[in-house]
Amino acid sequence: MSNAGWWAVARLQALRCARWPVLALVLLVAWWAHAAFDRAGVPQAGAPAVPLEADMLARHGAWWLVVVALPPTFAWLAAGAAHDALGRERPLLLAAGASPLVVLGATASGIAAAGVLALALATAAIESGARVEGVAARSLDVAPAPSGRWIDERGFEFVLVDPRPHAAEALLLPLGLASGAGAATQVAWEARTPGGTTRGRLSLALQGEAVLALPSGAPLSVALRTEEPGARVHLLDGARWQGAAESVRLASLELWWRAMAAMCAICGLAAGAAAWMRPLLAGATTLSAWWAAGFWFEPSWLAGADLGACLSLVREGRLPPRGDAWQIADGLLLGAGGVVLGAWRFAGPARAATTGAPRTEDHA
Amino acid sequence: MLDSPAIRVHQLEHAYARGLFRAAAPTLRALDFECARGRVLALAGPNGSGKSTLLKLCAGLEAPRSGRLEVLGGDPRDSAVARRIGHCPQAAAWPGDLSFLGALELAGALRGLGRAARQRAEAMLEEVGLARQSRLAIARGSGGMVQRFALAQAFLHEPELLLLDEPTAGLDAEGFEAYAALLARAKARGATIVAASHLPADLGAGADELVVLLDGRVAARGAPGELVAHDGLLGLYARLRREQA
Repeated sequence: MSNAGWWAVARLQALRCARWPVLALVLLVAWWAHAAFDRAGVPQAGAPAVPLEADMLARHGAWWLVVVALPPTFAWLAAGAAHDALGRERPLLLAAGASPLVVLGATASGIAAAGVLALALATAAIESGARVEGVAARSLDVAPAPSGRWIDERGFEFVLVDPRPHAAEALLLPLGLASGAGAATQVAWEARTPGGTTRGRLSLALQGEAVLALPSGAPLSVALRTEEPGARVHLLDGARWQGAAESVRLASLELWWRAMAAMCAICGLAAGAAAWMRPLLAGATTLSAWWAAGFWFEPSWLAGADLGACLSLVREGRLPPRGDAWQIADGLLLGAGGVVLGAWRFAGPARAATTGAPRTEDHA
Repeated sequence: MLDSPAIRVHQLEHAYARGLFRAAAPTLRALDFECARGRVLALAGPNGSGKSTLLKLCAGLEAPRSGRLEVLGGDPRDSAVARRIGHCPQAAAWPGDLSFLGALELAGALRGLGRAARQRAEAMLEEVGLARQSRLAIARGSGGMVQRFALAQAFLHEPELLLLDEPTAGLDAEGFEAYAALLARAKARGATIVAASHLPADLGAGADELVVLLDGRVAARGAPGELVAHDGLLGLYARLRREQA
C-alpha cells in the first residue's frame, strides 16, 4: 500500500469516529467535565478565597469521567473498525495488495488520532470550566526514603546519599498519627546537608505530609521526632521529591499527555485483538488488561499506567511529574505490538504455498 | 516475466477454517490449471464447487493451504502484483457509510492512482451510470447500483488481470451495456479476464475457454460452444458427475 493508501485508510477510520453517537458522547463528556467545577461547589470567578484544593478536586473528578468514558469508547471503535477492515471490507481494502499489517496499522492510527482529538477537546473543556488561576507544587520522582518506621520523641533519622532530581526543592514525607495526647500532635523535622540546614514543624491530626525544604548539596540527612511524650507517628509509603510551584492548568496537560499515550496503546491493542476475536470481546479484553495492569501493578513499560497515580496527585492538589516523549513512544510501541499480533494471524500459509513449501496436513 | 501465464495453479488446496475445535471445510483439492495472458476464461460449476474461492485466492484475499499459486508471475499478496489485479467479488459488503464516489476514490488511492484517484473515480462512475448517485451512501443504493460499483472498482485502475465473480448479477439492461463496454475495452488493451458465472450467456460471450469446477477440482475445460452446446450447463454437470463416479 502506498503512503496515499495508508493515509486514505487512516483518514477514513478517523472520520468514521465522527458518527453522531460517538460525537454526542464526546460532547457530553466534555460538557460534563466542564460543569464539574460547578458541581464541586467552586464559587464563580471573581469571588475571593476560592480554595485551590477545591479546584484541583473538581479537576480530578472531571478527569476521572474522561478516563472512564473515552478510552473504552475508542477501544471499541478500534476493534470494530479493524474487524470490519479485515472482514467485510476486505475486498476493497486488501484487494489492492495491502497487507493486513498495513490495514490494521492504518486503522488503529486513524482511530487513535480521533481519540487523541477527543481527549484534547475534553482537556480544553475542563480547563475552560476551571475557576482558579493559581500555582501548585509539582510532584517529581519517588524518593528512596524509608517507610513503615515509627517516630516518637526520641526521633528517627535517615540519610539519602543518592543525588536528588535537579528540580527538587522539597522532600515530601507522608505521615500517619498512631497515638497521641490529643486530637493532633506536633512533628518537628530537620533536613541537613553540607550546604545548610532547614527546620520545620507539622501539626498532624490523622494523616498528613511533611514538606521538607531542601538545603543545597548532598548527602541529605533527615531527622524527625514528635514533640509530645508518648505520641507515635508512622512514616508511610510514598515519599516524593517536589519541585517548584507552577500553574494548576498544567495538571490537565500532564493528564492529557498520559491519556494520549494510553489511547495509542489501547487502540493498537484492541485493533490487533479484533483479528482474533469479536470486536466487543476484543475491546473489553484490552481494556480490562490495561486497567488491571495499569492501576494495580503500574508497570513502567505500560503506557499511561501512572494515570491513576497522577489522578491521585491532582486530587491531593499537586501537579503530576512532567510527561516525557518516551511515554508517547511507549504507547506507540505497544499499539504497534498489538497491530503486529493481529496481523500475525494472517501470516504464513500464502508465502509457504507460493514458495512450494511441503503440503500441510489436511484436517478435513 | 511477461512470458509466464497470467495464472498458474499447481496442486492447490484450500479449506476454510471453522474455529479451534471444528475441522476445516475443504473447498479446492489438488487443483491444476493455467490461464495464458490476454485470454478470456469462463469459470463454471455448481454452487460450492470452488469458483469464488479460486478467484479470492487469485486476488490474494485468501491463503492456500498448500500447492503453488502464481499470478502475473508473482504472489498475488504482494502489493506490486495485487495492484495489477482487479477483483469484482460476489455479493461483497462494501463500506456502507461511504458514498460511491468516496469508496471509489479510496479504492483508487489504495491501488496507487495518487492524485488522479478522484478524477478516475468520477470518470468510472460516469461509465457505469452512477454519476448522478455519486454522493449517495453505498448502504442506500439498490442491489444493481452496488453491483455497478463493484464493477467500477474492479476496472478502475485498468488492471492486467480481471477476476469477475458473477459480474452481471442484479444488473439491468443499462448495467449490462456498461459492463459489456468495460469488458470490450479491457479485452482491447490485452487484459486477461477470468469470469465466474451461472449464466450461459455470460459464459459464452467472448470467452476463449470454459473451465468447469466440480467439488474443488477441474472437471472439464474446452471451448464454451462445445462444452455446453448439447445439454446446457445442467446436462454438462450431470454428465461430469457420472464420469467422476
